[in-house]
Amino acid sequence: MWFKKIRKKKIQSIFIVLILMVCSMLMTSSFVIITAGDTPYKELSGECRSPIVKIYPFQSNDPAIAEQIKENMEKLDMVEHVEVIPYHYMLERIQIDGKGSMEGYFFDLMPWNDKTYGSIRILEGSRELKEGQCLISAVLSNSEEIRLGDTLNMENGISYQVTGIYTDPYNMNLSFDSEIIVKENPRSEDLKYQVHVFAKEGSSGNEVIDAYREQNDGILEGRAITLEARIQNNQITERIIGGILLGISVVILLISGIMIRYMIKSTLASEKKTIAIYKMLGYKNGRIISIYLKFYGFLVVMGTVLGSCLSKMISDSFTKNTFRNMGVTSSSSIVSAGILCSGIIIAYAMICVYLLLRVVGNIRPMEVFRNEAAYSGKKQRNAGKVLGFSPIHMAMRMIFRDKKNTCMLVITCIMAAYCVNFAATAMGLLGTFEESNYYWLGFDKHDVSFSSTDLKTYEKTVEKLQKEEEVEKVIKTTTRVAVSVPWVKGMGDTILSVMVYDTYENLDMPVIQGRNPAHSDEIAMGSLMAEKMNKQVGDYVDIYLNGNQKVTLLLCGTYQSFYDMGKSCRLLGKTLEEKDVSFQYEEASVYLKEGIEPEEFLKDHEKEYESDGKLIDRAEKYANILDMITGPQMLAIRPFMIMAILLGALNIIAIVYLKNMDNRKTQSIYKAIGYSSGHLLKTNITYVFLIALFSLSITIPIFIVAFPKTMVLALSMMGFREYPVSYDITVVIISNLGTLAVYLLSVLFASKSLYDNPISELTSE
Amino acid sequence: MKTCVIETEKICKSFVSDGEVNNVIKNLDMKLYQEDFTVIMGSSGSGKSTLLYLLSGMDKVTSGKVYLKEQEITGLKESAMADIRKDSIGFVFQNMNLIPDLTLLENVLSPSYQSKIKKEEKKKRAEMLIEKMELSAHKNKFPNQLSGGQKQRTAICRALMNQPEVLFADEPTGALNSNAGKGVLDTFTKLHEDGQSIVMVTHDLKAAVRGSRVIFLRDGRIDGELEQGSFRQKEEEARERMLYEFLKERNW
Repeated sequence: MWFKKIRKKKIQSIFIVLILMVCSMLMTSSFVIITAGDTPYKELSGECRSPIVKIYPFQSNDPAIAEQIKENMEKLDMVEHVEVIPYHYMLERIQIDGKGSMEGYFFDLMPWNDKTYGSIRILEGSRELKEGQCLISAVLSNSEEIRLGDTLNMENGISYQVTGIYTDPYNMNLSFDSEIIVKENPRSEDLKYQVHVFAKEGSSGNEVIDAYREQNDGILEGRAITLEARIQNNQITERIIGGILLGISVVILLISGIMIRYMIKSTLASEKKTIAIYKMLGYKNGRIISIYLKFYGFLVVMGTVLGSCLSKMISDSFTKNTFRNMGVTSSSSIVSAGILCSGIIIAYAMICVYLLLRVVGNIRPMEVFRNEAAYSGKKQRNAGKVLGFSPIHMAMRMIFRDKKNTCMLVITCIMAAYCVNFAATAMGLLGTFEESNYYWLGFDKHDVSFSSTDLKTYEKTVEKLQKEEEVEKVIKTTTRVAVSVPWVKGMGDTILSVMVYDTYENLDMPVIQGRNPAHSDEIAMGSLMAEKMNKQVGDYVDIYLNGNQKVTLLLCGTYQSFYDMGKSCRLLGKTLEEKDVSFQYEEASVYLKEGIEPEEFLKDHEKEYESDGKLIDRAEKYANILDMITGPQMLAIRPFMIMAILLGALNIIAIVYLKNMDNRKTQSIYKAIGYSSGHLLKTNITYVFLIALFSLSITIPIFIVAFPKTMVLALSMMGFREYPVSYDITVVIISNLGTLAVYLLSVLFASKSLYDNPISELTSE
Repeated sequence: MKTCVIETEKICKSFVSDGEVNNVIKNLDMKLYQEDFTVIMGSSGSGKSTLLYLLSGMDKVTSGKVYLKEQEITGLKESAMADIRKDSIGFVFQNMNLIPDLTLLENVLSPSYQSKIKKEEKKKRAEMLIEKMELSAHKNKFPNQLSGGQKQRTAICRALMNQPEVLFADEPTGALNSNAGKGVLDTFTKLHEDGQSIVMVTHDLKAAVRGSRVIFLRDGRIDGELEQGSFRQKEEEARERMLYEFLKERNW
C-alpha cells in the first residue's frame, strides 16, 4: 500500500531523497575526511618505525647537549633506543634542474641513519644511497614535481641526484622542516644535532617527554616534536575541511527537517479524505500511521544510504593528496562513517516524520466529509482587513494568512542567505590574507624580507640595505631563539615561537592589549599563551631563554597570531643581550620608501644580494604557512557556498511546488473568475520576493554583527580575540542579489504547474 | 428580435481515457440569447456540464467554434480567455468553489482586481450585492464559517461582481437542502427579471421550471427545446407539468 504512494507522489519522493542524499553525502564525507588519516598514519608509523619524539636542542650546534639529552633519555624505562643525528639546516637556495629554485620551504640535510630511516616507506626508487644521491619526501616530490633522476643543486656547488622518494609521518607537510636524506653529510663544519627517541611499544611521545621532565626538574633543553603531535598537525587541513563540511551538513539536516515537515503536512492535507475513509473502514490510527511511516521511512533510508555511498566521491577528492603523499592508493572505507551518519540522519528524519504523523489521530472523518476546513480564530481576527488582488496584495495575503509557511520560507531563506554571505565574505577575506599576512601571523608590516644565508656577512648586508636609496628603514629580526615557559605536568610542549626585533618603535605590528616591548624587561605574548599562563598585561611572567636561563619579564602586551597556533612571544634583541643569551639576527624587515613597489626593488636588487642571502616579498615568504591556513578553507568554502544556494533553491522549489499543488483548486478558481496563469505566477514570485527581501534585510545586519564573532569563536583555540572585517559592499550586493535571483528562478521552475492546471478540474471532486 | 450572446458552430469535445476516445459533445450547433434564462437538462453523462464549460470558455473544444457576442473565443490565448472570463462571464459552481482563505467580502471582490472602477466603488458594489443576498452580517467570515446556502449566494455575488454578459450556473442547487435551494433559485429568477442572461445546467425539475427556455441534451446532441417564457410563481405547477411531459417524451 505504502509503495504505491511513491508513484503517486513522485516529485515529493524525489525531493526527500535528494535533500537527504546531499545531507548524508556531506555528513559522511566530513566524518571520513576527519578520520580518514587515522588508520593510514597508524600503519605508516608502524611500518616506518619512526622515532616517537624528535628533539631539536636549543643549542643545536653543540653535540654535548644532544649527547646529554640522549643519556638522560636512555635512563627512562619506556625508552628503547636513542640516536643523535648530525644534520645541516639549509639556508642555501636549492635549484632543481630545469625547474627553478625552491622557495619558502625549510630543509634539513639528513645523513642516512639505519634506525631512523631503515624502515621508511619507499614509494619510488631505492633506499640504497651512494655519494651524490638523495631521497626526498613524496610531499616535496608532488608539490615541486621532482622526479627520480632530477638533480638538486645546492648553492655551495654540491649536487644530489634524486634516487628515491620516501614517506614517513614526520615528512608529510612542507610547512615544517623537510628532510632530504643523503649518504653522509658533507657540511661537517656547520652541523646541528637532533635527538631521535624510540620508545617501547605502548608509550606515547608525550609520556616520554613528561617522564623526561619529571626526571630532570622539568627541564628539557630542546624542542620536542612528538610523533602524535606531528601526525595531528599533518591532519589539520583535512580536519578543517571536514569540520566545515560537517557544519554544512548539520545546517542542511536542520533545513531538511523543515522541508520534510512541510511535505508531510502537505501530504496529510491532500490525503485527509483518504485517511478519513480508512478510519471509516475501521483502520486504527497506528495502522494508518504505519502506512505513512513505511512510505517516508523508505524514502529517508534510500536518500541517506545513497548519499553515504556517494560520499566517497567528495571524501576522495579532499584526501587524495594526503594519500598520494603517503603512497596509499585506496582511501579509507566509508562503511563505519556511513553507518554512523545514516543512523543519525535516519533517526532525526524519522522523528520529524513521526511527530507530524501523530496528527492523523486528530482527523475526524465526519468533519472531513462535511468539508469543514479548520481555520484558526487568529485568522478571523485578521479577517476585517480587506486586501486587493494585485500580485503584491495576494502575496501579502499569503504571507499574513499562512504564517507557518511564511515562517518556514523565512527560516530557509535566512539560513541559506547567511551561508552565502558567510562564504562570500570569508572568500573575499581569505583573498586579502596574502596582503595582510603580517596581521594574521603577528609579524610587522614590512615590504621585503631579507634572510641571511651567510651569517658572517649579515651586519654588513643590513648596513648596505639601509643605504639603498629605495629603502626607508631596515629592522633586524630573528626567530631562531629558544624560549620556553615553565613546565607543568601534562602540558606537553613548553616551547614558544619567538619574534626578536631590534626595535618595535614605529612598526605596524598590532596588539590586542597593551603594546609591544619598548624596554629590555618586557615581553609581549600571544593571548592564547597569556591565558594559559593565567597572566594579564601588567603581570610578570617567568620564561626560560635557551632552555635553562630563567628570566622574569613584564607582560606589556598581548597579540593574536596563527603563527605556531598562537604559541608565540615578542622580545627585544636587547633583552637577550642583557641576559647574555647568545643569538644572532639572521633576518631583516626592509621598509621601502613611499611609491616603491616590492617587485621593482626585488627586480633591481635580488641578484646583488644573492651571495649574502635571499630577498623575498613578504607575501611570498609566508605563502606556505598561509596556504596551510587558507588553502583548506578556500577549498571547502566554494562547495559550501554552492551547496547553500542549491539547498535554498531546492527548498524554495519544494515549498512553492507543494504550495501550488495544495492550492491547485484555489488557483483553478482564480482562473475561473478571470485571473491569468501569469497573474498567479507573478503572485508566487512576489510572495517569495517579499519573503526573501525580508529575510535578507534581517540576515545582512545579523551577519555583519555575527560574522566577526563567529570567526573569533572559531579561532579562539589559537587565541584570536578580534577578527577585523572590512565588508566589500560589491561582494555583499552581488552575493545577495545572486541569492535573490536563484530564489526567483526557483519560483519560476516550481510554478510551471500553474500553466497546466485545467479549470475543468473544478467540476470533478 | 432576440440578440444572440453565445453561438456555437459544430462543436465537439472528446476525452481520451485508457486509449479509448469518448465523444461527449458531437457537432453541436446552438444559440443562446440575451436576457434568456436557458436551462440545459439531460441525463447523467449526456454532456450538459461539459457543454456549459465549453460555452463559458472554461474548457477548450476539440473542434468547432464558439462565439461570444460574435467574437470567436475558441483558440484565444490563455490571457485573452482570462479577460473574457473576467469581464463577460460569471460562473456559479455546484460545489461553490469559494476561495477558502478569503473572507466572504474578499471572495466577492476577487474578480474585480483589474477593473478600472475606483476601489471604493468596487467595495460599494460588492457590499450592495452582499446586502441584496442578505449576507451583510457574514461579510468578514471565511467560507468554512458559512452555511451551504450562504456559500452559494456568495458565489452568485462573486459571479455578478463584474456585471457579466452571461451568468453560468452548474447545478447551483445540487449541494443544497430544499430551503437553501429555493432561496438560490429565487435569486436567479430575480436576476433574470432584472435582465441578466443566465445559462444553468440542472437535473432538478424545480430548478428547471425557473428557466425561460429548456434545452434537452442526449449523448452530446440537442434532443429538443422547450420555450417556457418568464417564470411566475403562480404558474409554477403548470410549468412543472409541461416540463414533465416534455422530459417524459424524451424518456428522461
